[in-house]
Amino acid sequence: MTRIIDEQLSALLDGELPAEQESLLLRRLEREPESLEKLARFGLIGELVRDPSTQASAMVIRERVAMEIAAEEAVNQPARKPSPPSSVRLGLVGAGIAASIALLVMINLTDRPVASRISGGGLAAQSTLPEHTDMMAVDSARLTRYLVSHARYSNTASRQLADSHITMVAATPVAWSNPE
Amino acid sequence: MSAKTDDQRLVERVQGGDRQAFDVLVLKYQHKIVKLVMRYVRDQSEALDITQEAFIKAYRAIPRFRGDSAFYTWLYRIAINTAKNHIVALKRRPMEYDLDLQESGGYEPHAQLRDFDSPDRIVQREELREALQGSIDRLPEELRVAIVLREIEGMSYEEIATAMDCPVGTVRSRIFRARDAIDKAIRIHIDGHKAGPDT
Repeated sequence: MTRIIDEQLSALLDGELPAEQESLLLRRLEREPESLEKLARFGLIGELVRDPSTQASAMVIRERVAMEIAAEEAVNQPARKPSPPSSVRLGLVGAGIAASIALLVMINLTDRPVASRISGGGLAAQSTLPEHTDMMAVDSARLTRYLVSHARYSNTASRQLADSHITMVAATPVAWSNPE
Repeated sequence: MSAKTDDQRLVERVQGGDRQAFDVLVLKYQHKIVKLVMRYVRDQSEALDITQEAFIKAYRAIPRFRGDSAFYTWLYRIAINTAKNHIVALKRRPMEYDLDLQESGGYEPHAQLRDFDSPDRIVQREELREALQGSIDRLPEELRVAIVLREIEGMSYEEIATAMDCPVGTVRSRIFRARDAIDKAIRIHIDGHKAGPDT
């Protein structure tokens, strides 16, 4: 197969390839840099046969030109508007958000030693506990409002996760509105 | 098939948005253009830069190319203009040149350009030339005749088929086999050259 392709490369250089084969070969060259390199060497061989003093240093030109054209076209490409996320992607994002918030809340609930470390000691830790619980209640309410307002981005799994959080902190389970 | 015909099809592909077709045109003519540019600048690095610039200009202008002349003729004119503009631009920037040369009064912009032919590169080029000649000498006669008629006489496959009294498919195969044999013989020398003048 390689030999057939190489022979086609040779004919391409001479402009002797039928149009249909030329199209296919050009597409192949896009994904096979080694074929492009071979074509480049065939071109150099022709020049060397005509003029043995030809220097091979010009072999870098193709790559440099291709890079410059690609860079120019990247700059000139109009900025693409982001496509609206699909409901599946929304659901995944929602699940991710809910999961990370739930995790943070759970860390808050269980991580009493952190509070004591912050405050610096045993008696001091005890004295910060009621304040810590009040803050958690405020945070939970805020979290609940957040989750409810972002319900439309959630799929079933993420809603269940959020619902279990709400249950855990003893807020009234929210009836999720079905975005569908 | 004339050179104009086969390049014209590639040009039309480029005009249709096929960038790969332009790659093929670059591969076909990069050596010729570098040689042409080196008639204006002796420094190989500059010649490569000017050649690159000429091809970029050609790519930008190709939508307007109507095919009144052969593609290579059109590219040739772009390359010459690019080389001349480069020299004119250099003349406007005397501080880029060696001050000793300026002070000595021997200030000639294009003449003072550096020659990058180090002894190593001279040896490499000589080795490449020997490997090439040896590989051509070792080719079976029918392959050697086919490649010479193609590369030196510029004959089409059909013309070569008539001259050698064989089918076009045989001509295509012989030319490929000749290139393949030469490629195997000189590849190691080519890879050494590709690194560029500064290595």
